[in-house]
Amino acid sequence: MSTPDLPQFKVAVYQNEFLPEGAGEVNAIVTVTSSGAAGPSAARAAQVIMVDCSGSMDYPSTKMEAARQATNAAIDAIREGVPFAVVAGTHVGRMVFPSTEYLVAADASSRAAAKAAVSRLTPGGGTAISQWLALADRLFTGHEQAIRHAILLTDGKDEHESPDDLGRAIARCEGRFTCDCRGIGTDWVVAELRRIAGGLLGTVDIVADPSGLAGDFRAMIEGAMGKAVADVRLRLWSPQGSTIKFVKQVAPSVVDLTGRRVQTGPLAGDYPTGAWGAESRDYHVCVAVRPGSVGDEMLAARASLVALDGSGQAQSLGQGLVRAVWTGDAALSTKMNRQVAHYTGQAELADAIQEGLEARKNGDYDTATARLGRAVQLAAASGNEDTTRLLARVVDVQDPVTGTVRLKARVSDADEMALDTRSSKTVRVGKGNQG
Amino acid sequence: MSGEPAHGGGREQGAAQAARGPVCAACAASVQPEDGYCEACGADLLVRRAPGPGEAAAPCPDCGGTSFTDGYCDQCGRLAPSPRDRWERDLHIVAGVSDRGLRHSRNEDAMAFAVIGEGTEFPASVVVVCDGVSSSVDPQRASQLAADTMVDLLVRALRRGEPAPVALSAAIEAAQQAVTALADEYPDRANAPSCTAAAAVVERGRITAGWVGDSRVYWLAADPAASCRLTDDDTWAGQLIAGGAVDEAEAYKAPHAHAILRWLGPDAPPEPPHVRHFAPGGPGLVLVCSDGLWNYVWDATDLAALARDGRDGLAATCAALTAVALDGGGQDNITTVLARHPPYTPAEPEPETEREVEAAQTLRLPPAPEGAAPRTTVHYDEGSAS
Repeated sequence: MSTPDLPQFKVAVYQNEFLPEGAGEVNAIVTVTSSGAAGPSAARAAQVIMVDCSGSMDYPSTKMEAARQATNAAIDAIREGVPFAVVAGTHVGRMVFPSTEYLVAADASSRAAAKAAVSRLTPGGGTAISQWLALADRLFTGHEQAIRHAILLTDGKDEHESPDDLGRAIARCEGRFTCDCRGIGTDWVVAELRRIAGGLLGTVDIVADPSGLAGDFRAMIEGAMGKAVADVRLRLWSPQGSTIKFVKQVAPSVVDLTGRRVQTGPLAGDYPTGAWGAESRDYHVCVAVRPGSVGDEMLAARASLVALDGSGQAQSLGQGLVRAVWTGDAALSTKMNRQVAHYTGQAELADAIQEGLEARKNGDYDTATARLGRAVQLAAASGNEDTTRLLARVVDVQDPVTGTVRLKARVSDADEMALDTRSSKTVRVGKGNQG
Repeated sequence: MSGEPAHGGGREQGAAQAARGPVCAACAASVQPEDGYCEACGADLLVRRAPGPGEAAAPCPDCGGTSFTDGYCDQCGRLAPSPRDRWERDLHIVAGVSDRGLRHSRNEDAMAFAVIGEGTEFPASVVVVCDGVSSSVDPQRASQLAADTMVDLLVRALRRGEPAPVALSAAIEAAQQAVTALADEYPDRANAPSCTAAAAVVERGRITAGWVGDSRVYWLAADPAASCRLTDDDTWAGQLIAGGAVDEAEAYKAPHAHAILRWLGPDAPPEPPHVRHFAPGGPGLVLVCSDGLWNYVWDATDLAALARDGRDGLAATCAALTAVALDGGGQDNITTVLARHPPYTPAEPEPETEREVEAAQTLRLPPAPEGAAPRTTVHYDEGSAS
């Protein structure tokens, strides 16, 4: 099947290809920019909204009201004609609109009926998110040609099932749809939502203030409606005898894709990147190749973006080459590529925050101070102002250059969770110092 | 690329050719003794030109793989072997070797040469060596384009009877335009393909050298002590040496000594090319080479001693000089081209049937007008070659 309206993809590779004799690790930042298709309405879409209706949503009752309003805003933002459904999540998944398990095309009457059903939502019951995901997966059946997107809103811990149940449900849904996750209040678990969003290639964020939820839902739907191509994969070819050490999305946020490889040939594998609209993302690829001698040149990796068409045939959207050239000139081989250095720092920043908060939770204040201090240093050096601001609510910064900090005695749960959920957000090269 | 003309077929074919009369080497049509150009295909019968490096067809030296994508082996990722890695061309009175060396992954040097009017009263050889600027992208595109462009223009101009200095100056300027035009294909114009160029036109009793950058032309006299360098490098060190302030060994010790001040390509300084001519006192060899050779042996007398007057044949002599640079470490691409002066095969007893095509002997090129007004502005360097 030909897909004439696929967006234009540009792939650029930033690296220092020069290695000293005997070295075998090649690092590169692969920047993928999609210019978007002819128009946003060109692609087919399908949408499911999952709203937590467990008993805790009533405490305080403003949460349930905010969830209703946000769901209504989302329903309004769905493009005319796009099939959608609303699911209530408790210890089971239950249809809110329509009442049976299928998707209804968005139009004036279906939107009105959906909003009427949402207004009747009442909290009550437990939380078993795997049940919600399984229902969403069933709803998307038959819509495989469309760009499938879900929103998941919860306010509490996934307490009425085991982590394994959730893990299995996520694994079954991987590649079936993308899912943006939002936590409302401060009783939910960042790690749980991060796990879902990570597996289903969506975003995760905290909505501490319920009044902000409607705008956030609208933005998520608009983002999903702007996608022009579903199920794009980053395909990496690497030579015989090499190993891919890691593949990470590093902008707009850090997502480790290393474990998501699906082998597509003896020397090639695919990493899922989900759906694309007009946007730009950066990937850090690290390959270990056979060490070479001075004068050798090798293709360390060929990075291509491929889209699967209806018949499962891969179509290349663009490619870039990651090279290795061995040189005796130390002036060439010791130069650190600016993009690689920057994103190595951004990935370490995300790790430092998550480790620091974990240590703080466990009462290991020395580690917490050291890791969060390092995070302050990295955030300041790279010009990551949002993260710097969030860090300042958790630690008192004495010197951002050396990373000297003191843990705050009292930190609000919301501030801590905001820092945790947003720790993987990165900034691009060019902000902050030009080092 | 023009094919080998009537008398370029090699000695084995000589007898057969003589038996059925001269033929055009490009299309095998019969040609008349008075023809300057082939009536059938238009090939220039008085020009014999070394073919370019050609296309690759070799298996991967590392894994034996035979399929390549984007210029790399589909199995082991190794850079596909290139015919440029080492190529040798031999026109007997001119021969050259271009070699990747031991420390670079690609050969970014290029060479091109031709002999004109063999057997006529005015024979000439033209030689061009270009060295791609490593800090530019795809420098081998620049170097080969510049070398080919210059030989094309030199051959045509000399066949028209233009004086060598004028032809050489115009050829370098044309190469500059051709290489600069490549920059349109590159987003980063400042790093678009660039190269150096050194060229020599060898005529009876006169050698004309033209250059931009740090590739060199040497006169290697039969008596090594009478040898000399005909070019001055466009480098910081080259300027110091030309100014007489320091000797070569001293000048090139400085950290940025090799940084070139002039090149062919975008943003090249808009000065006219250097052109200098020299009257050799007798027979000898003209060496045109890249810095991959002269970095190992820079003294003209030493080079002449190594070349041994080309007594083993010019191709073997080029290979021997290249081997000296490789044995020394092969830090850079090495390109070595030797041309005989005077530009014709030294008299040796040959059976009449092996003489090259009779047709050529009856033709006369128009003489280079002595003291004719140059048709383009030629910048003659101050001072004589030393």
